[in-house]
Amino acid sequence: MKQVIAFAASKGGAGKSSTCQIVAEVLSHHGQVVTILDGDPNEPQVRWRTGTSKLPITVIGDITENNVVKHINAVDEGYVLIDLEGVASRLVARAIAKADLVVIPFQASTLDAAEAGKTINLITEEEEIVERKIPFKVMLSRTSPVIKTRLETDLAAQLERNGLPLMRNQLNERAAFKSVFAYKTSLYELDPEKVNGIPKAIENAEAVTKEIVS
Amino acid sequence: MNDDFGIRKKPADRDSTLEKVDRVAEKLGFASREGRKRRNAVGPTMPVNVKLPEDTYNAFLKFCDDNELTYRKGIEKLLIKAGYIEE
Repeated sequence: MKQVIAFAASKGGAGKSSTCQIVAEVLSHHGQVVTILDGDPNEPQVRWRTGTSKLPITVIGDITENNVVKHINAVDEGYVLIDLEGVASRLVARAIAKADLVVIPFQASTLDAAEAGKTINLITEEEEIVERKIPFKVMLSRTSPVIKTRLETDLAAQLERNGLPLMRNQLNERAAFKSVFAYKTSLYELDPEKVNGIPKAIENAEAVTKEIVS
Repeated sequence: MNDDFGIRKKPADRDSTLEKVDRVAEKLGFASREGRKRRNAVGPTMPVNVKLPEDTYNAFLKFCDDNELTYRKGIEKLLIKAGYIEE
């Protein structure tokens, strides 16, 4: 059984790489087989894998529009998470065509929301071509864990009015999520002496992952 | 007789669904961002400017001419022969 999840947003800084990495860690920690295809030219996931994490997450780099389908097809089982670049590209379109689920993270800003809209339009058009539903979930990312902004509430209401599936959980802005890339390790292996709020971050990460894969 | 006039036939295993996806994507601004690689792309380069004795210079030019090599390829070929770089 294979589940392909693409993390797409045609804007940089939306939280694709962080969400992809965090979801991979949670799934792997709970015994799932996880492969990340790193389609971001900066290869954050490849760099992460050069660190010390003992989680058996396979990371494949140098993902291009010409090889993305081949790499997806080559994985036999488990979760295939595709971290896509923050631009509108053919690579994104091809990954979406092969995805069982597309997660669209976006920050609570109108610019991000507009870019998320572009990705949703693409998904809708691709559904007609591949003759199947391509489920997608929209997730607010990098939000404050304590304060909900007015804009956040407005955007959520707007999405709901348009019948778009906004996730109940959000990936908060947390030091621990940044630290997994900085220390090239997982949430579960971070040093509590160096990073604050690890248990809360794990709680947030697990809630987000559960909602994505459910 | 070869009567295809050099026209390249579309390979049978081309994924037509993917081609349709590409077309729709392009219409929505999701175009290819990957430029074709130059055939002679060699990665980062460093210049070398050297004065040679005339005999050595002539010999190097003859070696390149005889083997139809650019100077860069000529130096590379000699270093491969000498075992300093792998082919």
